[in-house]
Amino acid sequence: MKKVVSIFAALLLVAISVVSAFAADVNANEKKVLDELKTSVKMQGTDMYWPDAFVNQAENYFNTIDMTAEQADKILEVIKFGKSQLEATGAKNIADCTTAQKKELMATLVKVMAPVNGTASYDKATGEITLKSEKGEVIFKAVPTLVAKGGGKSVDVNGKTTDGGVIKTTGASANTMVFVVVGAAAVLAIAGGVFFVVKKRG
Amino acid sequence: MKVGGKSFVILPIIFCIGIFAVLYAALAPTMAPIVSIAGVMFSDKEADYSTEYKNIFVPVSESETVETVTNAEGEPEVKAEVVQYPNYGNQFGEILIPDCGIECPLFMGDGDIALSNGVGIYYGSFVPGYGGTTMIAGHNNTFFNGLKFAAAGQEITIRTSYGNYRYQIRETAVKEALDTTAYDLSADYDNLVLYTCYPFDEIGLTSQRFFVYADLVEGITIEKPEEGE
Repeated sequence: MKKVVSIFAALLLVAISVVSAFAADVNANEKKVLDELKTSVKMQGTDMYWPDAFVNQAENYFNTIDMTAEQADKILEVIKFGKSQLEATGAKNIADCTTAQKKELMATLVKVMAPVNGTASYDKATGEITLKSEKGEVIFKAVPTLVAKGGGKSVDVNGKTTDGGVIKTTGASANTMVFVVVGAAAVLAIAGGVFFVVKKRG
Repeated sequence: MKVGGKSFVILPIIFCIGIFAVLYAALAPTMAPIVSIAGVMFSDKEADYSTEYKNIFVPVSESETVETVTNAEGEPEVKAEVVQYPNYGNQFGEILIPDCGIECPLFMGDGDIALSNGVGIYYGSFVPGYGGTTMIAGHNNTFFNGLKFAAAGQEITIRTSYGNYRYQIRETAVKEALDTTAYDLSADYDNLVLYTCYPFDEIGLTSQRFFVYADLVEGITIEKPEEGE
């Protein structure tokens, strides 16, 4: 009897672990949200779009969850509202919006994440928006910008040219450079000190 | 101050201690990642980063078969149900480029932890077999330093828990980091883009990147629901 119970318990544990790993697919509700993200926003009369990289990040996230119809409807409602907000700004791109308009857009973004219990935050130093899932995992990280069809480069909220944060810094960091310079200066200072002492002594 | 025999020894020692104390206080936060990278490069022990990230990679051997289904065109596809799609930050595979001496963990997402422990897929591109662009970043002073030996015709293998994917390098190129024509994230076919900072051995930030473009030559695509399903 004990054997049967332990086999049953083992099978149950395996079943739970399988259920918690989401299969790689985008369900119909998630597809509706993706389709909406691919539609344009009219900015000063020009059709502007989210870069492919942004929509792909959403698709990757959707492959790890199972969105319900109710969640999708709420998200779609807020996305559509956000688009009307963007169009009403009269700006050419997100970077050209006023601080007040950017804050309103950020508040809308927080509402977009609410149905899936996610969070949205803005890093003033890098200009990046980070969206996190209910579990605190990063699901989107980029400098917010819109692009014209076929275009990819734009300016960020700080007015700097950006690709939306696609290509990373993959070299030795500036901090390493500072370390090398300061280290070299320290060696020189020590050598100078020794030289001074020797000179004085001589 | 009288400089005698004792001062000749004591002064340099005080100098050294003072300067190292100041350097330690100022650079301790910066040194931690450098020491971490050095540990990866020079340690002869298997590093344990299990507390830093989740590893979902279970290698599929060459003789093993992954559960597949047949699509409308009669082609086999990896059954979507058996694919555990990686979350941002998960290690879900490894990449091997024998001609470049590269063999390292592959992560979903190219955040700091991923690039300290291996190379990472940009989260705005897709995993191998998904039917799109897979764009992978790595540091030029660690895991992707060997890319300087990359040349057309060489083979790249990506191993995941749902199958192994073999690519052949088509070309390499040096481009500006902000050149958005260097990649196509809207591609509807499996292709691979690797990149790292260029020049390879330059200290400090660089504005250029070294790109490696490769085509898929072997590997089964992941099942996707048909339109309207």
